Amino acid sequence: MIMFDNVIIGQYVPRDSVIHKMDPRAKLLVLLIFIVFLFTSRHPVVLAFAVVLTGTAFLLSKIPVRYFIKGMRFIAILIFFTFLLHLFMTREGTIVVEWSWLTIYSGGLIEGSFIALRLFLLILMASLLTLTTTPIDLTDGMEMLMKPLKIVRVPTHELALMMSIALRFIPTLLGETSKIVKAQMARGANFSKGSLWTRLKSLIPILIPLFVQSFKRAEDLAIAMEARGYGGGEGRTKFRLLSWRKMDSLAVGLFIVFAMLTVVFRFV
Amino acid sequence: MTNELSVEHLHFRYHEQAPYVLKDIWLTVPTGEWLTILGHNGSGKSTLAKFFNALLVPTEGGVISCGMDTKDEHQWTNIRRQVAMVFQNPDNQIVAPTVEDDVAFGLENAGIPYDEMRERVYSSIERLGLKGLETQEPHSLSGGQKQRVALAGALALKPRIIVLDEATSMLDPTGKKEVLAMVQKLKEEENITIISITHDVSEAMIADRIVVLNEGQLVLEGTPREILKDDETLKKSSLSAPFSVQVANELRKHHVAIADDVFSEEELINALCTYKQTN
Ligand SMILES: Nc1ncnc2c1ncn2[C@@H]1O[C@H](COP(=O)(O)OP(=O)(O)O)[C@@H](O)[C@H]1O
Ligand SMILES: [Mg+2]
Repeated sequence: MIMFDNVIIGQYVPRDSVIHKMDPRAKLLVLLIFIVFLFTSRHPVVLAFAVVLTGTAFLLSKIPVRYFIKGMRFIAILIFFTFLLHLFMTREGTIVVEWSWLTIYSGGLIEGSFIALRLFLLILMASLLTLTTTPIDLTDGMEMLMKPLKIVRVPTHELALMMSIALRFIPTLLGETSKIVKAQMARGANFSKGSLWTRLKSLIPILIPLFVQSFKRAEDLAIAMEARGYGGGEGRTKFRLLSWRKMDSLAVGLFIVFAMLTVVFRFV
Repeated sequence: MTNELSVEHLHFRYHEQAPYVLKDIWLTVPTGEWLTILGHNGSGKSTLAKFFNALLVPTEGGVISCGMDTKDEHQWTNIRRQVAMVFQNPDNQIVAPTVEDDVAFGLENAGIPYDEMRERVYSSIERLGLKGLETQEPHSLSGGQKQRVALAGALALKPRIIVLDEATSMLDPTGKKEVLAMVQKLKEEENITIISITHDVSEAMIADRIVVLNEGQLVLEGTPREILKDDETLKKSSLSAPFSVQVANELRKHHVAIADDVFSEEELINALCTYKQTN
């Protein structure tokens, strides 16, 4: 079971930092602003500002670099391919390299680097959110931020509850899966031999018991929730309170300035 | 003495055509009692338990929980605050991702104000010996600990009745003992009425009173000593006497004079240790 130990906590790395102490709503808002406006302008000033913002956040978070690297290996490949794509596909500026069928333009080089840099900053910011916020806080933050959507009948409370129950059950289901796999292997099942098709077919004896169990769980859980007086979001109080502090307003303010800057450089 | 719970003339079946799962149940539970409902698998125990807190509502007969008629829809929230329930599978009743959040779940539903909720959550956690595990995730706890989390969630509601539906049947012997000792403590210190439901005769020994459910009917009622000593009658309900009683009976058959009142394991051991061979 050791390998599943940190599933819920996921990537969360506890540290005593200002970023950790920020209200999850503020962090979510900041990330949202950053995502929306980062691609608005490609002016060097804007990019420099973005680099400074990300860098500061990164330093303040006190999260060791290795945690970022761990989570970014796959993303790095993605960023690299995006870079290559832009490098080969853009036909602007002067020719830098010409070698048989391959021509690289300076425009491609610049465009590719910009895209790669911006993607990198984006991923860094997003990982910073999950590295410094527990999933419970994230869920709470999202529920609060989505509150206004209640007017248009988005079931925000139910969505948040679903997320929190999912968080609660992921490790349980993973544990169960590994139990079933072992049980089937003890009965002679083999998951690593044969063609792709045979291997896929061999997953059936894992998935069916897993589904059956999950339905049983869902039914039990529904009864337990009803027995504990659950009756929807109406009239419910909350065990966790989020507290919005000056620091949070400051951070959001800073990113609003960033957003305005991108707009200014784009249209002026 | 007042009754915390009274069931009168209760009949129930799940569908029109299905056979009756509960047949003419009459039951009263006085305040502060530990009642055990004993019955084999499928005898209708869980079904009966669901009537206690209005998860099921009688169509024939009636159930009064803590002075409230379970047929009255407006009372359901109140009834569920007074009659807390702990279920069999510890994994399927913990709702929240951490211990403290789960203990708070019932209080959140009841709309308890923030400060009081915090106070109640942490005092319940402490009462059940879970201090230090507040922010643990459920999957990292032992079965006994998980059931104690469920009990803490129940206790936090300050209920008048706690119903345990086979709450220890999936636990190892240590977990069982741990949970039952806590229940005993709550009963004594808080005067909470306990209704424990089980098919395990050894667990039934702690009760003040036992009723035996067989094929949807209450067939026997009495103190543990009265009920559990009679292996022949228990067999008719597909149950058997506790191990200590069986050993004593068997010994008597072989002309070992064990006193008639030997009941618990401790008494049996005492009887054997002080046994004087006569010939
Ligand atoms: N939701 C349901 N729908 C239909 N039949 C049910 C349902 N739950 C239980 N039963 C039936 O009712 C009978 C009693 O079940 P239950 O109360 O769970 O017994 P116990 O808890 O004593 O094992 C069983 O025959 C079972 O098949
Ligand atoms: Mg049952």
